[in-house]
Amino acid sequence: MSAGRWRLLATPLVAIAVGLGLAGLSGLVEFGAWLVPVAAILGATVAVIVLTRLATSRPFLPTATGALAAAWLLLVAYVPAEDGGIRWLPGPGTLDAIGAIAAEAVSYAERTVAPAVVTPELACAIAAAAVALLLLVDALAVGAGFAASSGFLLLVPWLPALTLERRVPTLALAGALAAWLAVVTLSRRADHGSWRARAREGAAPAPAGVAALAIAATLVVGLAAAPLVIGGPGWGDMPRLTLPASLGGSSRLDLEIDLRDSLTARSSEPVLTYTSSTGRVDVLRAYSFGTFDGTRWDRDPEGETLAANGILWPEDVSDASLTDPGTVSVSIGSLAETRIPVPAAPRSLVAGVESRYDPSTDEVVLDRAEGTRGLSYTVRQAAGYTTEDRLRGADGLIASGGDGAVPARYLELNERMDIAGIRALAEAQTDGAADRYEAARMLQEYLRGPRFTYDTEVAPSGDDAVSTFLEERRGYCVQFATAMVMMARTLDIPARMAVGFLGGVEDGERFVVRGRDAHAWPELYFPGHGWVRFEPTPAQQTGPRPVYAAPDEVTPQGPSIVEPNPRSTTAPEQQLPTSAPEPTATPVVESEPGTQWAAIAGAVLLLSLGAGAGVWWRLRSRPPVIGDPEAAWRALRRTLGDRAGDESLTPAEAERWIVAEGHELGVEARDALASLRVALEDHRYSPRGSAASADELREQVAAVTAAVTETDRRARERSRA
Amino acid sequence: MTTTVPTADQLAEVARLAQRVRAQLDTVLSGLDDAVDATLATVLAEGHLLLEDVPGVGKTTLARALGRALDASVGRIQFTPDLLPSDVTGVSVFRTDEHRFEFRPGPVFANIVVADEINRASPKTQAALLESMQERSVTVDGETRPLPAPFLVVATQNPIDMEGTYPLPEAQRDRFMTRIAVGYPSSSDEVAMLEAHDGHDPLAEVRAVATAADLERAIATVRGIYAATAVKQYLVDVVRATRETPDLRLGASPRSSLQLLSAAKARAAMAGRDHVLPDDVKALAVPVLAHRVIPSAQARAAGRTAESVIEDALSRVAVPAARVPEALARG
Repeated sequence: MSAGRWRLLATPLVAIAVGLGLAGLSGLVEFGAWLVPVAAILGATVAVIVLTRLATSRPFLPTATGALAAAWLLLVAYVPAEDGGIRWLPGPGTLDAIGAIAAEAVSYAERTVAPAVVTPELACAIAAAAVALLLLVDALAVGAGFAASSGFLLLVPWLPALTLERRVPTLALAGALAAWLAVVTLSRRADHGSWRARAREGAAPAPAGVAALAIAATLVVGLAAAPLVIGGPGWGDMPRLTLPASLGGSSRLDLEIDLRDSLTARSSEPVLTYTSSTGRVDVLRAYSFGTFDGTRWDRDPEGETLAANGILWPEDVSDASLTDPGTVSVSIGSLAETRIPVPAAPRSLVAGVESRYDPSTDEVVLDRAEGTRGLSYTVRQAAGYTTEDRLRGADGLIASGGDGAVPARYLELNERMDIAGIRALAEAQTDGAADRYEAARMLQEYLRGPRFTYDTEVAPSGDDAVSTFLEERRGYCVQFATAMVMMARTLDIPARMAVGFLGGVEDGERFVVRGRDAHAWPELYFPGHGWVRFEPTPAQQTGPRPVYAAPDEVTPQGPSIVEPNPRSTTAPEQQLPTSAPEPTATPVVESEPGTQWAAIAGAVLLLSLGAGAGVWWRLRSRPPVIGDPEAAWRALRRTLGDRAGDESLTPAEAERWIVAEGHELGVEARDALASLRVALEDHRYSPRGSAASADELREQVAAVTAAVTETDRRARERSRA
Repeated sequence: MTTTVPTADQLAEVARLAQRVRAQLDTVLSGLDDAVDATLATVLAEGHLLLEDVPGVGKTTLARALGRALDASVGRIQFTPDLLPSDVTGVSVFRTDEHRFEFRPGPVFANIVVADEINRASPKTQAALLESMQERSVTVDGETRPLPAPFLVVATQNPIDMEGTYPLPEAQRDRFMTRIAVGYPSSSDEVAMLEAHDGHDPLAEVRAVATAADLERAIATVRGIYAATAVKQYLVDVVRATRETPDLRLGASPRSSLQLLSAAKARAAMAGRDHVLPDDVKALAVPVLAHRVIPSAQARAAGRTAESVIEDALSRVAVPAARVPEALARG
C-alpha cells in the first residue's frame, strides 16, 4: 500500500532516460546550445510533476499538470510574440504561430540533410517530442504502473541511431537503460493486471525523507545533470558502439545503382581526408556510368588505358592553367575502391603505386587487391580549367560534329523510358537556350528548383524510373543526376553519370570526407573542353553549384530559370552561403535572444519551485508538538513511515499493521500502542473526546518509537550476522 | 422515534445479547463469524437480510437458527413459481356462519420471516413481500394491518440456479440492508459441522436466548449510538467512491448510506461502544453495499466482482484524521 513514494523518484529517472535518448538523434542533428533549453524544459516539467505528485494521490493528475507546465514553457521558449518578444501567455494568434513553426520544422526536416544544423523551429519540435515522450512514459510507467512496458516507448529516440546510423553512443544508451531499469526496479512489479488497480496501488502520499530525496534528484536532473550531460563537452566524442555494417571492415561505394532503391544507411565514418592548396574541392570523382536501362545504371566498360605515370589527360598538359595548378593530397582510410578518387580536371597523379588512366571514362584504375585502402596520393588539378567562357565557346565545335569523338553509349536512350515525354519536358525547360551551356544550366536549375524535393525515400516505380521521378519530384542525388543525364541525351547532348564524393567538411587544416558524402552527378560533354560536371541535386545535399554553372542573375536569359527566390527566408543557400553544411557551425539557437530568455525563464521557474519545495520541507520537518492524540499519532506515523500503513487504514487497522510489521514489539510497547489507539479513536469519534493527558501520550509515543527502533536494530544485527 | 444517549448498562445489555445469540448460532454453524456478525448487526439495525450463496452452505440453517435463538414468531415461506401474493400476506375468507369476512394472516405476520429461494417466485409475489418489508404493514382488501415488531425478513437465494428464476431487480435488492454470502466452511469447520450433526439435529438444540422484547430494547439502544461527523463523512466518501469509480455501472444509493450507518451503529453497540468507528463502516461496507452496485462490463471482463471493487474503494478512501468541529459540521 505504501508503494506510492517510488513514483517521486521514478519521474526524474524517466526524464534522464528521455534526455539521454536525445543522444540517439546524433546521426540526425548537430548537438549544440539548443540542448540547454530543451533540458531546462524537461527538468522543469519533472519538477512540476514531482511537486504535484507530492500534493495529490491521483495517478494521472501530476502528468497532466506537467503537460500544462511544459506547454507553457515551450510557448515561452520557442513561440515568439508577434513583435518578436516573448509570448508569456497564449493569445489569439498563438495557434497560427505554432502551426507556422510546426510547418517550418517539417519543411526544414524534409529538405535538410543529416546531420542537420538545428534551427529554433527544429529545436522546438525536438523539445516538444521529448516532452511528449516524457509525459507519455510518465503516465504509462509512473501513473499507470506499467514500468517495464514503457521501455518500448523509451526505445523510440534510439531508432535512428540503431537503424540508420548503426552507431550508438554507448554511455548514453547505458545510462538510459540504467534509468529505465531503476524505474522498473522501483515499481517492483510485473506488467499485468488492471491499470486502474495499479494506478491506485501506488498512489499514496510519500513520507518526508523520500520526498526530499525525490526533490533533490529532480533539481539535480533539471538544473545540472541534464544540460551538462546533454550539451556539455564530450557529448559528440562519446565512445560509440558500432554495429556491424553490411560492408564489413572496409567501406565501398555502392555501385549497384538502381533508381528504385531508397537511400538507406549513410555512414558518418571518415573514408578519406585531404589537404588542398585551393581550398575545398567540389568533388572527388571515382567512377563513370554510361549505360542506363530505365532503372539501373551499368558501369562503363574499361577502354584503352594509359599508364598514369604522373600525367593524366595528356592532350591538355600544355594548358596554361597547369602553370599554376592546385595540389590536392589525399589519404584514404578504410575505403577500398578499384578507382582512385580524383578532383575535377586532374592533370597529374603521384601515388607511389602503379595506376592507369582511362581517357574514355576519365577513371584512374588501380590494380591491386586491397584497392585504394590506405592509399596516399597527390593530384595536381587545373582548378580554374572550366569557365563559362570556355563552355560557351564549344558551340562551334558541336555544330561541326565535335560530339563524334564520344562513345555512342553516352547518347543512348533505352526504349523502356518515355523518351518523347522526357524530351518534351527537356525542350520546354530549355526553351530559349542560346547554346549547349545555357541548355545545361537551365536543366540544372529546373531540377534544383523548388518543385523538386530532396528525399532519401523514393516513390516506387516501374520500368521507367526517370519519368516517375519527373512526376513525383522526390529523390536523392542518383535520381537528380540520372534525370539530368537523360534529359540532356534527349537534347542530343552526350551525358553520363559520375560517382564519387563531395568535398567533405573542413577539420583544421585538412578536409574530412565521410561515407555520407558519397555522391552522384551528371557530366555533360563539351567538344574541345571535355566532360563537365553539373549539379542538379538541391543545395542542402551538395552545397553550391559549380562556379561555371552558377546562375548569372544579371544575364537577361536567366529570369525564367532563376525566379525571385520564393524561399528566400528558408532556402539553405541563405544559411550556407559558401560551403556545404558544416557541423562545426555555430547553431542558430545561440543567436536567438528569445531562446536565451526562455532558458532563463525556465531556470527561474525551477529555482522558485525548488525554493517552494525547500520551504515546504522545512515546515514538514519541524518537530511536532504532542498536545492531543491526533498530534501523537502523527508523530508516531512519521517515525514509523511505511510501517504505519497508509491513510486508508483506521486506527485499529494501523495498530494491527504496526504490530505485524514490527514483529517483536514487547508487551509494554503493544499496550502503549493500544492505549494510544484508543485515545485517538475517542478523540476522533467519541462524543466525549479523549481523556488522555499530553504526558501520557508523549510517553506512549516514546515507548512505541523506542521499541520499534530497537527491533529495527536487532533485525539489522541479525541480517549482518 | 426519539433517541436517547444509551447508558453503559444498556450498551452492556446489547453486547451480552449479541454474545448469547452468537453463541447459539455457533453451535449450528461453525466458522461463519463474519456472516453471523453481519446478521446480528442487520437484526439490531432493523434491516432485512439477503443470504445469497450456492445450495447447501447453511443459508436456511442460519435463518432458522436465528429464529429459534430469538424466541420470536417465525414464519417460513418456500418460494415457488406458483406462489401467490395472498400466500405470503394472508387472505380474507368468508365465514358463512358469521356472515362476514375473516382475515387469515399469512406467514409474513411473524417477527422473523424466512423467505427461502425468493428468486423462484413470480415478480408479483416478490413484490408483495418486498412491499411489506418496506412498509412494515400489509394491506389486504383495503385494510392495512401492521406487522409485528420487531420484523425481520431473512431471504435466501441461489445465484447459480438461473433456470426458471426471477432475479430481484436492483430496486428491490436495495430493500435488503445486507447481503451475506455464507461461503464454504474451512476444512476444520466442516469436520466440526459433521461432528455436530452426528446422530442428531443441532438445530433442535438451539435455545431461545432473547425475547422479542429484549430485541426491541436493543434496537432502541442502537438507535442512540453516536456517530461523529468525521465518521459520517468517511461513510459518505466510501459510498461516493462507488459512484465515481469507472468499475461500477451503478453506484450505491443514498438509502444505502443510511442503512450502512444504521448497521455500523448496531456493530458498535454489539461491541459495547457508544460511538461508531470507521472500522464498523469498513466491516459492513461489503455486506451493505455489494448487492446494490453493478460492476461495469470492463470490470466484469477483468474478472472483478462488486465485492472487490468496494474493497478497492475502502483501501483508497482516507480515514478522516482530524476531529471535525461540530459547529462547523452542522453549519
